[in-house]
Amino acid sequence: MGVQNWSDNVVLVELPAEPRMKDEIQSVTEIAYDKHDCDVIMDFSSVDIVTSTSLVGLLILCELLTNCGNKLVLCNVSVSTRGIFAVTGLEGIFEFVDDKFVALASLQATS
Amino acid sequence: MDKKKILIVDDEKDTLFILERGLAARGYSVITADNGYDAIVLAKSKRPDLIILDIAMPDMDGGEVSGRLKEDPKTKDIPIMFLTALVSKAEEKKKDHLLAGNVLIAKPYGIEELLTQIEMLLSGKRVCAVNKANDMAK
Repeated sequence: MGVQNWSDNVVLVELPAEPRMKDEIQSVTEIAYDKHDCDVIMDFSSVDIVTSTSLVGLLILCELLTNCGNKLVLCNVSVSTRGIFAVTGLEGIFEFVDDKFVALASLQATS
Repeated sequence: MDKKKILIVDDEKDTLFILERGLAARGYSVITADNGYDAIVLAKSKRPDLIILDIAMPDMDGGEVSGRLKEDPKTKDIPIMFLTALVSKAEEKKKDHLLAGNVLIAKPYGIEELLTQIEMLLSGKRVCAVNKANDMAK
């Protein structure tokens, strides 16, 4: 599983391509639920397509984190993958940054 | 200003969830139903400003839901946007005249296309345009 604890309260996820993606998101959601207080960075480097099931999983994770005052940051999202978020109207719900270092800086800036 | 209330009806739960969040993010108040029976109950009790209705659903399809809503004075004037994979994008506009001021959107669709049609239906411009076209055809 591509999940690393970058610090006590930051989880970095190297998201696998479909069809494993939805299971990975589910696992991360369980980790976030257990930890109570953590931010999540999702690296989309290996992702080229996102199914509706995975989009739902990302929305649920995003809402879980937001409700606890935490953040979900998506990085290394390709133009075509980002188009999936745009066409479904979900682009404004998620935070997109260039790479995981910018993501970490974004989390530190808001903590 | 009060948020416009939209009822989304689709038996595909992932689609329902994504569309609900997408429209809520654009400032709409959204309620959902995953079957035709619940859709009719919600339409009568919550009186949405607009209904987005999937056509192909088990038990009660979108056409039957629409027919029942049009029979009820409380719900007959609520505009309906039909979503379907049964009609191609090329055929979409050819079917427009059959819908009496409502809209047919062929799947797959994008949020911007949906928002354009939602705004037209909510503003009443869509009904005016259809009435004008019908008058010209007479």
